[in-house]
Amino acid sequence: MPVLVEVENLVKSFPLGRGGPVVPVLRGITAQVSPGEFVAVVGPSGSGKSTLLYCMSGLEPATAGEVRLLGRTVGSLSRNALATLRRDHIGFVFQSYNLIPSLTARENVALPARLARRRISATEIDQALADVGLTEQASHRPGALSGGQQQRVALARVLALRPDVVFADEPTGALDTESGAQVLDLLAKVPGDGRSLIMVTHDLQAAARADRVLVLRDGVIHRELDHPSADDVFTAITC
Amino acid sequence: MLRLILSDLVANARIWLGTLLIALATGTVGAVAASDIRTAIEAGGTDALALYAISGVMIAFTTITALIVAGSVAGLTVALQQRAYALWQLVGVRPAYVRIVVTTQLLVVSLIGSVLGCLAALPLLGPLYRFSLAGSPELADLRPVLGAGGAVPVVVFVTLVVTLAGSRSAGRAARTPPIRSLHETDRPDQPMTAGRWVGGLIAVLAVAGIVASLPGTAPDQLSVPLMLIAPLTAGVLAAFAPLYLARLLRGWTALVPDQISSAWYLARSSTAYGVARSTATISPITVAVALAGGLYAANGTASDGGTVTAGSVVLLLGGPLLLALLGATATIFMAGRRRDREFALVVAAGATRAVVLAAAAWEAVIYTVTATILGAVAVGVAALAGGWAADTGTPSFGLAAIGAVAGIGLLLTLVATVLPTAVALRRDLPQTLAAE
Repeated sequence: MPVLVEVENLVKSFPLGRGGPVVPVLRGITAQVSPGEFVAVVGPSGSGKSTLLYCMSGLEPATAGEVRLLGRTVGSLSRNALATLRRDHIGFVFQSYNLIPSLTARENVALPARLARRRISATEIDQALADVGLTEQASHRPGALSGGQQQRVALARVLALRPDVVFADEPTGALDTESGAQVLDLLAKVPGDGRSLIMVTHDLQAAARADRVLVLRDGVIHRELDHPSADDVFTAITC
Repeated sequence: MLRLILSDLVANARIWLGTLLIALATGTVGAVAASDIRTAIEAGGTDALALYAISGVMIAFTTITALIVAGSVAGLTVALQQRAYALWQLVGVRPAYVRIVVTTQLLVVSLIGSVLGCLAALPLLGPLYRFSLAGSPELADLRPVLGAGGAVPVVVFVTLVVTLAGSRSAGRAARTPPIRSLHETDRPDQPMTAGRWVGGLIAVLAVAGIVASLPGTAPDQLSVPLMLIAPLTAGVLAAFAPLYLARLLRGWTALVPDQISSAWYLARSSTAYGVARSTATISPITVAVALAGGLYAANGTASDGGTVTAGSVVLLLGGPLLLALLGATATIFMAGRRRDREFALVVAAGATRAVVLAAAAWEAVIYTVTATILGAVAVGVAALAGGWAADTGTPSFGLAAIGAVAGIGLLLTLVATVLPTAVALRRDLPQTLAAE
């Protein structure tokens, strides 16, 4: 089976302030994500979950080790080539929505296609918004939407482009239970047809929906679980 | 509380540096105008009469520019920190106290800036007078004087303008529910405040009064009143900007199709959405265009105009022009931190760095073209009034001056938008996105 995302002996360190000591966050992680797979990354705060996600997606350069995205070594790509790779093949969903405030919901959904000079019809955009239940809010700007609605626009933006892999960083972290469940239901539709979802979460129920769960602790993969229950995930994190 | 104020000043150093810089520049420009009067008083006789003739126009130009630039910058200073004020309130600081703290910060920064500005003017006065009055040998022996009598009114004026303009914004910030401020971290709208209505209407009355007085003015006395019409009209346009600027921006930029480039599309939506920020940048450039265009239009229309010398341009326009262009650049610089996040959002949405840089450059173009349109309208009013009063039938529009100032404005705004964007793009994307 081909591999969509692959990290090998990934190390990431951050200096504490200018000239301060270097703190290792990821200490040699090796993992693979196959097409169509839903992988959840869990672990205590500070275990390196988000850093792993950002390194995997090429948003954060690795200190050592190798990251391969769709068969291409991220470290060898120029900034522009990396931006193009992200634009054409990758979708991001962040905890803080990260919509462009000056654009309406419809314009936000259309933006990645516009940036990629890819044709996307008004019908496709409207369908993407309808899929996330926001037809009536299409002309609203982010400031006029609730947190859950903004996150659903962010999802519609990602789903409209049908990227090969979606990286989601705590997508329900800032949402109430009902909105979080809606967002998770939508995200769960991503894997399949060769598309993968890699999601960092604190939510045990959300993690339990994944095909595979990577449990991080102190910058290393502590456990790896296949189709676990929420209790399995809880036990793996706490023990 | 003192610790909170100081830490806030440090955390938002970029914004407060912009405010300090504008207070300093306004102080310097004001000191030059004040020294003209002080020097005239000291000199007495015919020398004084010559200097008084210059100082009236110089003070009018400086006052109009200072009111618009310092007012815009002070308002922007508060608007950019709305999120911080909301966080203060969430930890228990009362709204009234927020207002007091912000007003105190503005008072201290503008006071320091204007005093430094007056001090900075001292070594400039001699060379400036020598250059500007080189064509008037009878004034060659003049020694410029500023003194406390000249400096104190300048410091008081600058401090009052900055503090009062910012204080109103601080009051609005304190009244806004903190949750709303946190939800809308960058409130784009620019309210039409009572101060804007009053200032705008005073400027309208001033323009109307000058135009009404023109028919009775001797043809050889027309240039001075005509010179004042364009900057005052620019003041009217700046005061009423919240009523029309968003529509104007959307209107003229719609002439260029969005399809030409993603960068243009992004710049267009950003400038039309962030009206408060756009107004703060566009208004000073509008004034600069109106000042220069108005001077040359008046000179070309009035029979007493003669040739505008480099010295008279520097003396009359140098300070206000510098202040206006510096104000436009400073507002872009001050808003830079907020923009860093916006650029990161666009990159996260899939834009290449080239697209983001091009969008920043297009924003500079949009700011400058909009300001040039408005400045040209102001000059047009002056030119038409001059043509009507002088009965020449061929009003002069000072097009070369408008073009020159617009060109300088474009260059400065390009530097102010593109350079910080290039620096911002080198920063770590996840960190920038997680900054709030």
